[in-house]
Amino acid sequence: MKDFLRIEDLTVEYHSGRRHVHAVNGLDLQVGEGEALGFVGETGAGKTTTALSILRILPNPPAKVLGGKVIFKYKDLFTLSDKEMRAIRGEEIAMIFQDPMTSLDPVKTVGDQICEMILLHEHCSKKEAWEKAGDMLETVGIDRERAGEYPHQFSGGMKQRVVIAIALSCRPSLLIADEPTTALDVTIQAQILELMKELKKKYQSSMIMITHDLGIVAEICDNVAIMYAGSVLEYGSVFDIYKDPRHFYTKALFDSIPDVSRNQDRLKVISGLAPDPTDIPSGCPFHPRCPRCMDRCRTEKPEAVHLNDTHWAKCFLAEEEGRGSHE
Amino acid sequence: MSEPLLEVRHLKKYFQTKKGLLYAVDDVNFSIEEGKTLGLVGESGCGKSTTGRLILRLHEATAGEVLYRGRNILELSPREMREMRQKMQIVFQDPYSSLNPRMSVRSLIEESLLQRSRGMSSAEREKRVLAAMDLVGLERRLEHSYPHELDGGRRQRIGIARALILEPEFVVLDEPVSALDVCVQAQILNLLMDLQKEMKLTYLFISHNLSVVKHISDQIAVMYLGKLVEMADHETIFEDPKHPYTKALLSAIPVPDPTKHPDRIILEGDVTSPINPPPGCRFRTRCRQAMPVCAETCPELMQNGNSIVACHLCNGGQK
Amino acid sequence: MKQTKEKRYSFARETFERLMKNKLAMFGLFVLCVLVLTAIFADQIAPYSYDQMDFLNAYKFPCREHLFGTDEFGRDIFSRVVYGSRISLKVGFIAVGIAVVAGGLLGAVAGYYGGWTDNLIMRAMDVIMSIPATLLAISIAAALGAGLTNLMIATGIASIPTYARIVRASVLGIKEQEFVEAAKAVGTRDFTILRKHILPNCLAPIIVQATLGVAFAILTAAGLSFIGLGIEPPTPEWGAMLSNARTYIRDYSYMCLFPGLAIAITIFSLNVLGDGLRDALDPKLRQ
Repeated sequence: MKDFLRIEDLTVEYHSGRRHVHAVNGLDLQVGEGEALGFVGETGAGKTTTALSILRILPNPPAKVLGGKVIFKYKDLFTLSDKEMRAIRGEEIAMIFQDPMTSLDPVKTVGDQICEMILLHEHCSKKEAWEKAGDMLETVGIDRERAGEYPHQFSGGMKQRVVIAIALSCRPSLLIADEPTTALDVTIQAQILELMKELKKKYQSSMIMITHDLGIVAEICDNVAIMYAGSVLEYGSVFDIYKDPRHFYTKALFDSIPDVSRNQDRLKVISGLAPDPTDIPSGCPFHPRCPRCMDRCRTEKPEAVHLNDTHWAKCFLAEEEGRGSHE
Repeated sequence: MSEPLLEVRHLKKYFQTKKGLLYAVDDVNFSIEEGKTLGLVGESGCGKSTTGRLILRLHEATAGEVLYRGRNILELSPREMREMRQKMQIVFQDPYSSLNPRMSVRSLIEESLLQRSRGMSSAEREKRVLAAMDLVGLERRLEHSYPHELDGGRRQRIGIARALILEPEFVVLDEPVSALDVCVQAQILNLLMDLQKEMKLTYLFISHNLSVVKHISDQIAVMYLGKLVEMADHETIFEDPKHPYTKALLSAIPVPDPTKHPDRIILEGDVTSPINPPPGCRFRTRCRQAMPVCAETCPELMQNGNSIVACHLCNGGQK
Repeated sequence: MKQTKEKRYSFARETFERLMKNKLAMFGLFVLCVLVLTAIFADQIAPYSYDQMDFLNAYKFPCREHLFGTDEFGRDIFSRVVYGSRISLKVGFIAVGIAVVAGGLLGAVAGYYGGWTDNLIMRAMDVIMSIPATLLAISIAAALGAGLTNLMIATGIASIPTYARIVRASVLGIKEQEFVEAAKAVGTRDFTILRKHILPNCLAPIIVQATLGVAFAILTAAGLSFIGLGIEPPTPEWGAMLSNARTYIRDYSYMCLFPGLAIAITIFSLNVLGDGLRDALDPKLRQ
């Protein structure tokens, strides 16, 4: 299915007092079936807002979806009733949050928390649900005997495994993971990433991986969307994006990570500051910080320039900026 | 080799908890030469931040010595210590919680001056504050802003300005870029390196992020559960890691290159609790190459090629 | 993010400007000002003297001559409420002032130093707390003797533990924050840290509690007056008037109503002002 998930022209705003925060600005995106998409961007780029609007769990107010469509399996999610939407959440689309410490209920056993999810979406007895919960725990590498324990008896990495078990318990066809390893230590992160890779192979579900770590994306994802100021500036397969980035923001992003495998004296730095979300620059949102900014960039919003079937970049110079410019 | 600016000897810090004694820092030894950077790496709870704080006496050590230019600062009186603080400063991890939300940028940076230079006029202080703001690249017009109005990068610059206004010689950087976005992180790292050159600063750079540490450090020390397990210069540790934990830590870093998939050493289990740790090597519960001897005696740090390692396997298994 | 503030404002002025934007708080401030002015100019405002008895006109319902009616001795209730504001406001503010300063200081020291200092102070507070506040005030008033000053001291001491606990709890939270450690790292003295970093950050709960505390103080003072340990009759005091009028609540409810209303309005305006102040003092809520 090509149009597994398609987001068209999504625009979301937050209102705080008299200020309007433009969190997502006309975002277009597609996720194919069984595909893992990496969602990369800095804080405030609108990654989490996009994810929450797919699930329609944005806090409203202050957030408001001003326009656009989210089409999931040929259904426009924004037109569904609340009841239909509830059926989709968890069963079709599940989400893993960043902090495993706060996303589990501290007064319920982990088994109960998985059961709750199963009972909500499947018609089965409590006992069957408990069985399934045990299976799920084993899938994520936890002994089924531990189903009767409470979250505080688990370490951070183990809790994140439980969260993953809950998310996967109803076999969703789309999994949204919002920085699932940011709160964890490197060695634990490695364990969780390994687990997610395995599960991705096993369940064949689609995944949106929200992260700021380009290393994680390289490991897990098939395609990458680079987000900046509420819109996608470049999209393509990991190979295209990592080996042949065409947008200047993408290039700058790569230059600013300290790389273990290279010896650098100084890091290259993007001049200027992240854009003020209440006042997004006109034209190309990156133009005030772009080293090759032209007059045109200030006034005209660049359309996506298609470089191959999947790779596109919203930059007037995308075609000229070929190979070799990124070391 | 020049005289080390700072030498830490047998530094220990135990906390009494309800469950037993917590060995936060357990016999840590290292030294930093003037003008150099030592990177201290480890996972959360390994005692790296505590070590930084012990050196500055923000926590009192249980035992050990911290020699600063040959003088043991753990024995200084509170008054002498206040004098000493002029020379030794710290930059904190979280630019959100380390700045008092009720103070303006100027008063935040000025605070240390107020403690020190009693006779200084307000105009003189303002001059110094503005100079410090220039130094770290903070726009002067932000003088009267409050921290919550600024982004993370600018806030961290306030933290750096505050530490540097007294012109210290030695700065503990406690995860100074962990809370920042990659682009801002790069800016701050460059700034820190420029400042080091300009002001001849000596850094203790604490971080869990090996790639960041590699970038800025001359020497790197790896900590696990309160103990140093390996120490070497920054190239050696990346090219020829000796300790199994260092190897695992290195291989756990996700590489931003889809064509490279390194053979990853996945460590089993979680970090063992630092409360009443088992005898012998602290890492043996997660180590694949653990031997019987590892459970019996705790390995000592020994010279091994260009590195110093505490591992029975690397050091020949003897004793 | 706003980075354009270039003008320099004093902290107090900035706080006041933000307070001005809060309509309800301004209303509270206005009412309080009226009350304070009433207290100051009571002689000019009150149509009668507070102790002028007129038995012929006793138990009069509110009418043109006696706006709030008269009490069992024929005294004009309006005049008594007006004069009562002097004492009630004084008792309320000073008693709370004593409690906030003493309780705040004790709580801050206990929270900041911890250990045996904390234990000593907080156990002492527990002892005070274990005695019902009113009873405690009674014993203090009994020991010191009747009179306005002793009344205020007694009510103040009775509410010290409340503030000490609140301040200690916030100090415990705030002292763990990194900015306190940061201040220590630059060599700031303990006292300066308490004054500049910790106390300003626990203002909010103190202000809220203090506004409620004024109500408690007025009522406790009333209770003490009632049993003869506070203000001696015929000096008017809202709480005392209220307790006196209790006897007549079935037949002459207005006698309760007006002093009661006076207390309620004072407390209400204090509360909204307190809320407003708390928000205005918080730089994070600045727009």
